[in-house]
Amino acid sequence: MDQPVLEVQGLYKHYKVDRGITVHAVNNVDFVLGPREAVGLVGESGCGKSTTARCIVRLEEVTQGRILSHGRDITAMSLHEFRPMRRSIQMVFQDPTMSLNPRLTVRQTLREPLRVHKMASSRKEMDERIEEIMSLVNLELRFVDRHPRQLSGGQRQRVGIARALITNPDLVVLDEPTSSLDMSIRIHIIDLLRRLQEQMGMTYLFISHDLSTVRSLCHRVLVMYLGRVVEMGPVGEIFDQPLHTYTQALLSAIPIPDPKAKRERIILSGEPPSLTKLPSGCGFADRCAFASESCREEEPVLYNAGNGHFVACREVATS
Amino acid sequence: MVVDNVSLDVRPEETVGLVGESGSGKTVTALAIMGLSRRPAHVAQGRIWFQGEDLRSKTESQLYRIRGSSMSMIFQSPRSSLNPLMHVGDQIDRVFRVQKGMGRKEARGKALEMLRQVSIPEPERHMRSYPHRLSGGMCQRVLVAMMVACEPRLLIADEPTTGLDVTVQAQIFELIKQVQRDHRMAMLLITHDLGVVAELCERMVVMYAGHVMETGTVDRVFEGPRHPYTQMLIKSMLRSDRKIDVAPPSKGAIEEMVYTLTACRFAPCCPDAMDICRQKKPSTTMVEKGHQVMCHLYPTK
Repeated sequence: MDQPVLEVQGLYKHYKVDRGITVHAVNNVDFVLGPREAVGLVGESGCGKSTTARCIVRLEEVTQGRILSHGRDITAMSLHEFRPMRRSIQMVFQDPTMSLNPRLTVRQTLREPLRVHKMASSRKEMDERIEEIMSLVNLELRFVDRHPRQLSGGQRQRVGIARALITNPDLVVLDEPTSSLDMSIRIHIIDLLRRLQEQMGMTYLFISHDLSTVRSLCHRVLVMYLGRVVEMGPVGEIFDQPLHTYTQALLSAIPIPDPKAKRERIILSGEPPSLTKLPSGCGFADRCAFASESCREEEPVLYNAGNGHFVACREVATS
Repeated sequence: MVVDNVSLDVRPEETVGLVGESGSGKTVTALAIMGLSRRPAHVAQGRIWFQGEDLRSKTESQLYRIRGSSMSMIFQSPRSSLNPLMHVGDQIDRVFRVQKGMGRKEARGKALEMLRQVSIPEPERHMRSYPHRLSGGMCQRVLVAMMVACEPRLLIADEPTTGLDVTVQAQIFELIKQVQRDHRMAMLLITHDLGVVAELCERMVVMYAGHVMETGTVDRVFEGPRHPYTQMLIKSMLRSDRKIDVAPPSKGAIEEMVYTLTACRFAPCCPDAMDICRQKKPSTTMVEKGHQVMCHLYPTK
């Protein structure tokens, strides 16, 4: 296998919120992202997917574990040492309105990363690069001197994508980039992201709760629950033969836009346990129809089910 | 004019989906039906018939009785629909006291029963909880409980699961469907999710920029959408049960809806736009029984 673009090893992120109360947001997460891969990180609110992403771009400091970018541990670097690495690890945020400076024009927004990373020597060179990136993300040049409020939601997200890509990153972390957009715009953004990846060859970590989007964009999927990866594998495997009961329930809950589609829905009872008091053993055991006593005692490890498909379930591993 | 000449009907026990993207006028339409339009918005023209009576001729106090007792609405953000300063139980038993004229004790008992019915865990304890102690899914259950308490004939649900996780969405819809069966209630379900429409609705109404572009049974509209906008929506759908090639329509990225009065509002984005579309507002044509389209491609005979 090629040298991985990113390795996450034994990642923990805990927040002390109050005296004696700790939120265990991410608990022992391991995964590897290869070159030119698009990997979906899915799960529901509070599963730790966004926290994982924020640790990778160092918007959060990890509690424990290592994150290697091209073999170098970024968690051991000082922020000063990490700064040049930001050029190669970029992020696109969920809400393009909140993540763009309302007082900067598109041109000013796009100049900033070029200036910070000293990627252009003159204004002229900057403007050429800006024109190039705008045409790549299908943003008409006439918008270059507009402010975010003069753009539509879809256009703003194109600016967010352009800002991330203008530094030629190896890894782009996309945190729900389409969930604030209308459906007819969403499909344009997904198509754009896919074409950009083909042209520029970067790796995507695509965080989303929208599994139909993940299915159409990603090669591999990681499913998180209660701060842990419960299942991962190639996109077709996960969607067509999910092994973990949680993944099965999650997939069965998505409405399919086809009145003729037949399906069996698994309705989960209750809600996920609190992140401040993690249960011992499997975090899903209380909501799982197949859980045995040993599930509640011992934390499951990722079991290799073949074809690059891994699942953290004792029942699957022993059957 | 945000909403222009909208006509729709919901029959007893039926579920109708009102679909459209942001700015299409779905919520404005719903609020107008409930008589909840607030300045500067007002209903300028048209009639709203409910159980054979014209709601626009009712006084505010008559509407107050109708809302809640025979027509209820649940909103998009469940948490902001609850009073943050009142215990959940007090908010539910108030419905029984105001709408059904029950005494305090009886209402209390009914409220508890309601919480149990919508599967709130530890209902006795949660009677005395404030809304901020509950998750979004639990708040929506409480609102469903308040709605059921009124036993309405019509429920208007405005994106009741937006912002909730899919597994929670599945729980809420299961609950609403059960309530609907038990109380033989009709529902107008407002959503932007065609998956939800396909699963829950019998008929659908597609809105764009304040116009009803297409109305028909869910089966017929999904199978053979007639309006170019509906066709575009159906083509933009992604599904999780199989891989589809994403091929966005070459024309018609909607960047901004225009609310013109003298032309088809979809014409600037329409791949099939003709000269007449920019000059004249189309009228609504019946293309087959129960299937109507507002588009110049289907001239009135």
